Amino acid sequence: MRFIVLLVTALGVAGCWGDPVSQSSGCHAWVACIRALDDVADAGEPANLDRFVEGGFCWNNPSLAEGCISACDRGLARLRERNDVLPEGCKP
Amino acid sequence: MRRTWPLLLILFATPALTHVPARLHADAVYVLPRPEVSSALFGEFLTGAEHFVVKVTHATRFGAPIEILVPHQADLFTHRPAWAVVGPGLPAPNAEELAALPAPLPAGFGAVVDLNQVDPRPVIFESVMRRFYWTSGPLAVVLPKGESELWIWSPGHTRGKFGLGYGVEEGGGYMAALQEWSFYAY
Repeated sequence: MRFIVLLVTALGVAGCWGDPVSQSSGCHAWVACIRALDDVADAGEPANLDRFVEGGFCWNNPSLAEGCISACDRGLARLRERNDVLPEGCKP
Repeated sequence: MRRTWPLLLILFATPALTHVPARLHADAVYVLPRPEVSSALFGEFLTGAEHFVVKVTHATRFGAPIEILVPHQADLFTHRPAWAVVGPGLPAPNAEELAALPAPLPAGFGAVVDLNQVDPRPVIFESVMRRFYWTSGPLAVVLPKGESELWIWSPGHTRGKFGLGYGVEEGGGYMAALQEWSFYAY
């Protein structure tokens, strides 16, 4: 029994399980910026950004969330840096 | 035997999923079988001149984080493989990125490029392989509708292993990771 408890604890610590977390402000902003750029470009069909939105897979556990938060923060910084004309939805 | 069944339970019945692992070879284009789920694509630069190509097809434009990992070993400190998403509808890369690409961009294609230059170099603990890796830092990108390619190369022609992390929705299990564990887990 102690062995089972130990294994389950180890997996939990490893980040395989964990409480869901809320969408980060950075991912909220990155999604909004992509949508705004799409509107400007008249991109038509919206991009599938499901994993990044509130309740998306990114927020299933802290380990996944950590990667998504970094990804959105870097993605947003790059969008702001590389688009000469930023729509309102992309501005800080 | 009493200690075997909990291990089997964990391997087969827990909800713990992983990125789907696969091994890349520089002499063959790898077609990502399930681009809607996350992948960990491992390869090795034996000469430093290799150009790994992964074909990805999405029914709609698809947002995903991408990062490249390198085993956290002293002799790989300067090994910084780069990656790019190459396809139609993507932005033009800047001059430095364009010059660094391992092949000319096809006509009408753009690219999102990460030359793996974040400094200081971030380190992560990867919980499936149970290993430390340097990471380029994940970057959220929107892949184009239809076919695009992931390119992986070594701008400094350094040699060594790498792993490309792609996507979020985990669809693999520990058993898949065990198939080539000795390669994946450096």
